[in-house]
Amino acid sequence: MSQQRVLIVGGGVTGLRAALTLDDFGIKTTILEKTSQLGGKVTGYSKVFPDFRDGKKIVCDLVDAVSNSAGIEIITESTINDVQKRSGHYAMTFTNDDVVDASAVILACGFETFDATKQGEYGYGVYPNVITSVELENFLDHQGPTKGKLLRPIDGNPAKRIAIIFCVGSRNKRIGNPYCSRICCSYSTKQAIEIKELDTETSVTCFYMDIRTYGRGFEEMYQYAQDIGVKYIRGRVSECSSLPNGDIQVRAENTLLGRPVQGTFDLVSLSVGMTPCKDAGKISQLFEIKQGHDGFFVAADEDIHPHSTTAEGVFIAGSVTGLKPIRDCLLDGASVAGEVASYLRKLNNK
Amino acid sequence: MNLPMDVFNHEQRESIWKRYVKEIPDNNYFLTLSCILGALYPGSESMVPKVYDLLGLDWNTNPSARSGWTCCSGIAYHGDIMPIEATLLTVARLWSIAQELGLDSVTMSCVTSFGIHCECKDLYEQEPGLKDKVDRLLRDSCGRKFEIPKYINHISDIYYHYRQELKNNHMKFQLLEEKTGRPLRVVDHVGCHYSKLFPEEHSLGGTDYCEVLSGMAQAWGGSSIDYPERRHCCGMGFRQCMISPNRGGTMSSVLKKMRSMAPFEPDLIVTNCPGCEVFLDKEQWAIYEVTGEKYFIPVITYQELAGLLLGWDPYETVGIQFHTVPVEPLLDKIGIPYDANSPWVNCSVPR
Repeated sequence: MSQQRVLIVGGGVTGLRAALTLDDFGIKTTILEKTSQLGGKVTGYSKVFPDFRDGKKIVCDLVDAVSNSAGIEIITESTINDVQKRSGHYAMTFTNDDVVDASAVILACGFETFDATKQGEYGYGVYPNVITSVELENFLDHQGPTKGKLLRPIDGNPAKRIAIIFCVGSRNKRIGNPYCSRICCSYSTKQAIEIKELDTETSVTCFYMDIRTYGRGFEEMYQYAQDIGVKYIRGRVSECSSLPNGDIQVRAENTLLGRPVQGTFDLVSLSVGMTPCKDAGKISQLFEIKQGHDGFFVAADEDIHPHSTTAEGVFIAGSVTGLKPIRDCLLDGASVAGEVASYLRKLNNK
Repeated sequence: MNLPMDVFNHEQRESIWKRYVKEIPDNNYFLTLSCILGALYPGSESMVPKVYDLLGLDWNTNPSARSGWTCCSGIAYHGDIMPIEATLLTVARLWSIAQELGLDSVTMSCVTSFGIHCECKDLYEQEPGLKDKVDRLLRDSCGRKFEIPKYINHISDIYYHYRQELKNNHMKFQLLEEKTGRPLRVVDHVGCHYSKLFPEEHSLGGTDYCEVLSGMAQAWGGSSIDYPERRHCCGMGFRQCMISPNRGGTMSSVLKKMRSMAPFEPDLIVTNCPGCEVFLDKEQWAIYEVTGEKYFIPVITYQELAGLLLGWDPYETVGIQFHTVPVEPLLDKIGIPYDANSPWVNCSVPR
């Protein structure tokens, strides 16, 4: 078993967790990461929900552990160019011309955030004071460009009236994303709490369709947000527009009151949903695995073998199978490692 | 006041509206007219053939009673007094007339008419067997045959298509303030039935950042204003304007728009819909009488704007005397000469 190697595509938290678990089993791994650093999207989160842990520290701990492991090889700034399937293993060539021979492959290449310019009615990219949740996360980061201060991009003045619009790029048939991204309600609520705790005088108004804070501790986080004064208005925002001083006027329908509402804000954050990783189409072709209608990878059996695919020796984990919170991704990383170890043992015994 | 031109990222806006670019043919247009535009702002419609001829285009129309040419029936359809089948038949007859003239690009000056033609085309594409049914009805009713036209374009699409050629080769004026050279600030008001019914297929620039009028205004020297109620309907709505107890809805819509655009200090409003033109123009006076709020921002159609910049006579050709809000202050800003003592065709009115 010690001669076998597993390629992990994606150096985010799922891939790192999988590598460490496989290392515990004594299985050598190669992590292939397309960017210059490990950690994936979580490197940009100063706090994660529901316990407000330091996301960067989670990444840091994982990266340190991976870097100190002799059995884990790391290749960055490279992607798969070619895959040759030979008996019981895969020979893969990367864009940096490296070649790796692996007995199994774990696809943990994550997700992309929705391109908010596709919902033109919100004015992202057109009005400077309309930002995405990813940019809001940067604002809230004490090590970020504004040192944790919320500022209006247009003039640098403090932002005291904040609107957060949920479900941007999710649950929307018109733009072709009918699915729920599952984590936006929770991360948006986390951001609302952070803003409120930063300055209790700042008003935060969340426009939502439904609140889907489904995990352990998530609902309590939502209730806490309301307790500290975060306002929730049920209704989809129809449009954002800019006033002469750069304020953003938001128009929506309050479906609980059954009437249109309008408000003016310093900053509007669009809680963008997620889409499959950019390479999903190419990867599915290279490994001959299936994508669902939503573009995410499909397991051979979603219930019994959620990490196995229709291609022998190819496994999937993390957000490539659909959106999930960070702790679920970490769990997925450990879980897929178990399934891969089991697969390799059977392979050895053949 | 510091005008908010920097609250708007024009490059990003351009990248968004360019997702919705439609094919506009270069030539061979069949022209259909509006029910109300010719009556209310006659210069707008009478200048279209002049512009087509100026550009050397092949076009034709056949509005004689003998041809069976009628309106598109859009007013009756949207007023709920005519079923869609009758509208399908009426439009099929118009298409048949166009095809008889060898033209496969139907252009119309009315935005509702444009919406009606697009809706009919869409229904044929969505509903199997509908074409056969209307074929039979048309043959039985007037012995005609028709095909679904390749192109349906609003005349503002054609003006947009040729905006640079009009400016470079024919226009004598630009949308610049004569004294300062400042680009005039233009509010573009695009009719709902142009940009909101089929934004992906038929609206140049989609709904959110519709380009058809703002593109013209910018090409002709002006700057485009984006204001919060830019996409708000003028409030015409067939049920509002036809039923007098509902007319307050129209006025309040216009008032909402005027209050929203006023801080941006627009020099003019440009429309491409006859209904919007009427109500944005006339309700400003009604608002003044009812509330005392005086806006009086000139509202002109894109045809009138083109006509004025082409140097055509503001009264005899463009017909600005039909406007409620005076257009003369706009002429003064641009430096277009006019004789204020003879605003009526062949008729001097003492001042």
